[in-house]
Amino acid sequence: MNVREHKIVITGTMGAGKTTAIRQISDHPPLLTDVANTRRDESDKATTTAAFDFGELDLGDGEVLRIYGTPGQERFDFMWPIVARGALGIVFLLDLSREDPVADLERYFSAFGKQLGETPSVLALNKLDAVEAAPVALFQQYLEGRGLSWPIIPTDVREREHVLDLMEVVLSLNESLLTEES
Amino acid sequence: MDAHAGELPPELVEQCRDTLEQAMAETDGTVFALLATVDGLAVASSTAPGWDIAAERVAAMASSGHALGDTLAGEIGADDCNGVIIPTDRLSVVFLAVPDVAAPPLILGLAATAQESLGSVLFAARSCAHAIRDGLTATT
Repeated sequence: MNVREHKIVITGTMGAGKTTAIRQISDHPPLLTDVANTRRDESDKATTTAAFDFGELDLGDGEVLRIYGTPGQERFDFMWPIVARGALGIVFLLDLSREDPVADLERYFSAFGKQLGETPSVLALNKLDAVEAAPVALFQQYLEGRGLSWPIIPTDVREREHVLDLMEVVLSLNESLLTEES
Repeated sequence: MDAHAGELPPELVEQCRDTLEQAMAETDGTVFALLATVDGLAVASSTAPGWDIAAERVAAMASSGHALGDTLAGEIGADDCNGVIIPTDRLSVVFLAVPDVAAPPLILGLAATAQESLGSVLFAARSCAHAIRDGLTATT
């Protein structure tokens, strides 16, 4: 049987929860390119992703979701568009506990360039514990200013159901796009 | 270079730079030498006159390349990745893990014009990696 493959990329800063999200839904332990983190002043994580994370989810009926996570630190920004090549959708995972998540998003926008307008994307707001209320309106305004109307989804990627919801939204965005095109 | 790179004290960074420069002086055709942490921070580098190479960018790419090599080696049941070799028409580029340096793990990079044999570049890189290891072991 021919397998239909769907590729979704999760991107975001170091510690935003990309690897956690992939781990939650992958059918097998994710393939990681972890290396020792020598910048413990930046993040307390012992390791960091240097190339990409990869997981797979069998959707049934011969369809497989391949989920890739990008490296978080800005010095690896050359990897972001490489990993995103051929993706049907991108999840921009924001860490709300960071000092300036809008500035974080801005950096990712610059790096992804023209892929932004072409690839269905979702803005996922993670680590909601760090804020009183999810600043959905703030990000909505930001996206509108750039002519983008992406779904903004408060999430907790430690919960498998939340990550599955994100994937479902990206898949349906892609489906809508294909329907519009046909 | 990044002040936090590898958390090596300045005198050790200087010593590593001397070792890189020595390797370049001893090996014909070398255009670039780099020492980077395994997570992609440049510790020290040396570039031949006339070449413009962004050491910080190459350090991050060396980290990604090495991590991919490690993952690929693991996938096919090989042992740990000791290095990555990139032969091109213009340059031969070698990245090697500096052996037996636990904290922080380091990657040594050496690039030489393609007129030099890949073997000689590899030999030079290996000798340089050992010299850096010996220097760090003697002073820590």
